Amino acid sequence: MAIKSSIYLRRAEREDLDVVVEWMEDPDFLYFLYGDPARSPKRIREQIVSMLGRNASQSMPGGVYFIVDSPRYGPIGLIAIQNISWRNRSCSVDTYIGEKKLRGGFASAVALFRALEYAFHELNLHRATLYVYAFNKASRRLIERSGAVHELTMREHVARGGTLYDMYGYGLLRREFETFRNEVAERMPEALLEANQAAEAAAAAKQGGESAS
Amino acid sequence: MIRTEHGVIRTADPDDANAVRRLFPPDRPRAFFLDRRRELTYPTVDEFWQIFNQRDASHLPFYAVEDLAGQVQGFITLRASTSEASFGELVLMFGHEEAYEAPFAEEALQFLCQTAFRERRMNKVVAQCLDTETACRAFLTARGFESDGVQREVLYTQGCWRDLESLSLFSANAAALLPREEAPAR
Repeated sequence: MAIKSSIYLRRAEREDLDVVVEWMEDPDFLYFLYGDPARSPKRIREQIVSMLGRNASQSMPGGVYFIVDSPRYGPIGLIAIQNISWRNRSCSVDTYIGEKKLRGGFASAVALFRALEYAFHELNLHRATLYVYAFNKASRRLIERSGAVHELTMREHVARGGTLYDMYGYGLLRREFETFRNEVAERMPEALLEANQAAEAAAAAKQGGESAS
Repeated sequence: MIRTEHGVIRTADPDDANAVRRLFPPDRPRAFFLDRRRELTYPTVDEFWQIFNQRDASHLPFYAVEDLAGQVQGFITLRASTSEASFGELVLMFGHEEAYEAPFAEEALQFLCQTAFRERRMNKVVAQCLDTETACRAFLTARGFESDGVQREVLYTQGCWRDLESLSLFSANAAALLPREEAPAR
């Protein structure tokens, strides 16, 4: 069971590259990303190609990357499940929503939920770590609502526009995610359906569109 | 080589690789040996040889800390962070718990703090301790380090989960560890 929504995760295709590069070149988007904000467009493109090219179908990948897609909006963001440790059964999860109007809203929440579901129920991990800048209030709220525990406050850890900001670290253990998931199920029983139903519907619609053209 | 009142601080030589194996047996996990995925790594003597031989402008080399008898008691270094924010990761590892109470440990920390805050003008230094590294944690907190928080169950080793604590010391709180700055001559 999962939250009912037409938003789903899928492997990135070659044709997604342009839209992801477009997000990454947006200064407003870069402001929230870790890394050197002065990276050149060429470097950004190389980074994305290398990231998306990693094979999620490997039996023990070090990272998996998904496009957050929606039949209504099209590709809206990128999910990175990285630093996967198969010994510690842990990972870090980063959610990037490229579409400004959807940041911090329901779409972001569903994307994060899907990523956590994948990490815990498909990869069978034990712990997810999420980092967020203190000024990214929308993401903080989203992460806190997912049941993650605020574990770290790294003071004056990142510089933006000449000012040092705090960075927060959150940890979510599998048992905490299950509690959160059950709470969601209790609160919104009507909003549950099979996890891939929306994705299948979207895929079918897309296939229909391609056949028609 | 720096002769201090209670020992010697010198760059680690490749020959010190054997001392690392002697001082840090794998049965006691240390935060220093965690990689970015928080997995424990135990470099071989040859790998330590290479680590000690590396020269990277952004990182301090590894330093060996000797007591007055000339015995290597531990290793220290300062890893520079990204250029985004000016901080460094401090590594201060001694083979025996009681070494953290010895005066050469204090001298080693002063040396690192002076390098970080005076020479490299860093804003803060950070350090990490596993929940098993109680002596190291006590040593750091007694000298002004403050906890940034604890990441729960990040490491699985020897059949149980381990927590990892992050600590930091800001330059403004490090005065006690630094020599008094002299006013510039007129």
